[in-house]
Amino acid sequence: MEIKTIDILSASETQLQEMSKKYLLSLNLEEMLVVQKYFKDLGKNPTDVEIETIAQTWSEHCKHKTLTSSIDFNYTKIGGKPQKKLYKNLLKDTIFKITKELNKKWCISVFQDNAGVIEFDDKDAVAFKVETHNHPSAIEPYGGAGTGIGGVIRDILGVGLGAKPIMNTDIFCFGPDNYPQEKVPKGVLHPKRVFKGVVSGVRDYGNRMGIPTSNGTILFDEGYIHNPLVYCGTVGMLPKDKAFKKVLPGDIILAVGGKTGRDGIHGATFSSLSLDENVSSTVVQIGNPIVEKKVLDTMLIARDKNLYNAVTDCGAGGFSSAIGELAIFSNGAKVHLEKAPLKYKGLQPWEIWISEAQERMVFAVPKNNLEEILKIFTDEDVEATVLGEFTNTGKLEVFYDSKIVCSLDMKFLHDGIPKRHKSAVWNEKKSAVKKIKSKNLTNRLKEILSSLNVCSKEWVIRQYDHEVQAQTVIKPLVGVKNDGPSDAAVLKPLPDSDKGIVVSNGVNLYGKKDAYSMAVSAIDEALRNLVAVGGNLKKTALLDNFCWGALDTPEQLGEIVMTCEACYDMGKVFETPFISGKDSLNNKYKLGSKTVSIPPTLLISAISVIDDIKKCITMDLKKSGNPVYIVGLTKDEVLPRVDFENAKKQMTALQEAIEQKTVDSCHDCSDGGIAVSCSEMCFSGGLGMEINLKNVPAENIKSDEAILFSESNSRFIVEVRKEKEKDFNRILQGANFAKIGQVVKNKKFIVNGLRKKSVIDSDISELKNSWQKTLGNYD
Amino acid sequence: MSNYKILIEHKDNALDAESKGTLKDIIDLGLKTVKSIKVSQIYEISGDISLHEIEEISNDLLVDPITQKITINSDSKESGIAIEVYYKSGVTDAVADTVHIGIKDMNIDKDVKVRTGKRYFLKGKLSSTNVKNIAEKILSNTVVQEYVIRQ
Repeated sequence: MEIKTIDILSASETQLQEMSKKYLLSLNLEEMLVVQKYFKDLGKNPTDVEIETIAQTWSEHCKHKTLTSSIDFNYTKIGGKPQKKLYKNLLKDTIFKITKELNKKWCISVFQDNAGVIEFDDKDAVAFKVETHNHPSAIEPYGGAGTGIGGVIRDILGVGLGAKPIMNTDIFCFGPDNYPQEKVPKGVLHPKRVFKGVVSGVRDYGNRMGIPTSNGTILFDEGYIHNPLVYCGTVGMLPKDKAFKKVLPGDIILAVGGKTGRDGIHGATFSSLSLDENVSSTVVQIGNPIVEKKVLDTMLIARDKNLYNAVTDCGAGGFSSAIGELAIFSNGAKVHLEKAPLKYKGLQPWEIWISEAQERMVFAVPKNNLEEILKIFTDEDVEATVLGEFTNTGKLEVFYDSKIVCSLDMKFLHDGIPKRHKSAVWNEKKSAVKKIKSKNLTNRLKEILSSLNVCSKEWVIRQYDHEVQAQTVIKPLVGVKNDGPSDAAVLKPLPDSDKGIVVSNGVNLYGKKDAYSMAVSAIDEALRNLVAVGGNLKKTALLDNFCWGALDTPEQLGEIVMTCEACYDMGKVFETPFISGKDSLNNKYKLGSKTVSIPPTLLISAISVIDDIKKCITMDLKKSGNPVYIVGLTKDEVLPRVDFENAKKQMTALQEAIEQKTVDSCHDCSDGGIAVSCSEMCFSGGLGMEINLKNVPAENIKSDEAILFSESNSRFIVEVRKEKEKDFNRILQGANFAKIGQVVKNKKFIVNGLRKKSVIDSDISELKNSWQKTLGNYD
Repeated sequence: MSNYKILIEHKDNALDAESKGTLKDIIDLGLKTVKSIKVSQIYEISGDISLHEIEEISNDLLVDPITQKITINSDSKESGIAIEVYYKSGVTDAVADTVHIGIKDMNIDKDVKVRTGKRYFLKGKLSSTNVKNIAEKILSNTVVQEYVIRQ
């Protein structure tokens, strides 16, 4: 064993910066100076364990320094004068603020634990968390994605006193799979290899854990070649009275699950750096789902016997973060690192302390319960080890063989980080009007159906078990042949109740041009998908996941500010609180002297609790003769915005119409607009449709093509039950909507244009073939 | 102290999805001269353990006798190029850990070392640069794995 002392007291400013770089601390000069002052006041140099503890606790990954910084914001809207705004704390002044203002009684625990928790019924609650695992997946797609899903499952195990995972959701962004191999730079894996590796990693971990993967999306764009994005989410159920944790002084620190090794060292600080071709194997984590499954099964037994006061997962920063965070409750902890079970000999104390080896949880157990809880774990061959105890001394004290290797004040560790102050700028740009001229609209439609971002993802979905636990009511693939694209997943988590959970997501590429447009569109899409299957907007919560590239200039920061503003605006309009979020910044790659960044990407995940799953509907056409309606206004826009008032009116009215059983099928309009939406409804239901573009409510559009392919927000194609048409019209009154056609028996999709008849005329089997062939036979 | 190298591969008449998928990946890379590929799972077990015990472990723990076959300590006599991929030392080998537990559960109380890997047996016209490309771009990830080429 070796404890190094780091000579920080005599270091100059330049040396401090070098030190931060050399030890991968990812702390800036201001932070290093605060650390230096702390140790100057103590009159001693820090040990390597102490400096690593501070770096982990203060990492961007754990502290969200950028999103919580104070910001001077200067912005100009089109045609407006320059304006100023000051944020004391960007997140608190936007996303947290709307949740606070809405003050929904059904929100149980928001932005404070490992996941957001909302009410399900009188007894139960639902927890939802979405994480990213981008850097590890770029380097080792299989292991990175597997441990990504493993990590977010542990977040659910570690929320409150532990929730039972009931569903996973996965959203990926990759480079185009047909990108020329010779153009892929050294040190970067080909997008196809990343794609296949990530999918198999999620498949193997999720399936082996016995958790269904029932929702997801994949975006392809050249912006993600160097830095793919892997978002993993998990939904869990827990009793309402188990939603909060506490830690009392004297509680035993119990480490449960996997052994500690040198894998995943510096993950938390590593994720705050740009990637380049030189990476070490120690930042890669290797997963073992069987170990985690055993932890899951045993800990829920211990939870229901009330054997522990608190639990949390070892994620970024390993023991240092997990024990450090629980120690806040009791105000201190004493840890004996030599007791930690190791995968092999030779680990230094600081490595044991911050290793991100997988499948580990930390419990706070009252002394009297120790024997009983240890028996539950050891009976099932789950390793459980006492590492020390929680105290109220105000100090985090770490020992190795009775020698003290770290002693830090809790107050300094958790509140000592200097606040960042930044300035941001945003100038609204006018969005150009799309000018495409296709001669043959049927061929154009087929092209769009075959494009990577629209085509069938069945090859991916079929690898995931989406049925295990037998609760998935609306599945990712629906329709007469179970191969149509579902808008959202619906779960029925309790055997004796028809109450359900709806989960959907929204993500897009508009961030390349306009962050505000991206964010409102992502939220609109998530809500649209949710409403389309029968979700309840009155009980819907949102999760935000920011993935950004470089954030060096005020303009780049301005994009984040506008995204937060969009979240506030949409939350306010739809009265949907945010309950959890996460950010992954620095998704950039150093190519020699150039830095390549991803397009700013906001993923919005939505979760809704509904009273009766029997009222849910799917997107496939059901019956010939039924009238087809469109809800929402079609505009000629490249960067779609949301018309707040109308959007809300449309969605709430449609929700009511679905609840009153006037709708047989419903599908949202997104990529590829009305044309793609109608095509998908046709070939999923095995029925034809004839629509008239003249009847589509549109603004400033004069061409068939623009109406068919416009991607305006807040729109739905609705197949209304013929005998309920009057009721539907009554319920939708006051919203933008119109009848545009009907379902027909012959298996053809026919579109009559503004001036000409049948501008599209195609067999639905041909459309389906175009949609399926791209990833159809992928192995 | 003995060393055993156990190879498990699919029988010729059984569907071998992994080999098929890997072949497609190589062709996608632009190397159309590869004629066939056979993937085997490698288990290296060393320690004070008898061949009889190794056979028992192979038959009862490692192989699916209906679709797979076992070779112990002997390389294929066919001609071709074999690329073997292993985790670097220090990287968690979860399959090896599970084999350890399995051996214990079989009541074989021996202190053994286990390492797992994959062997890719390629046939076709390939230059040494081609082989290196296949090894590094498709079969291994050199951040956590190392590979050996055997001709």
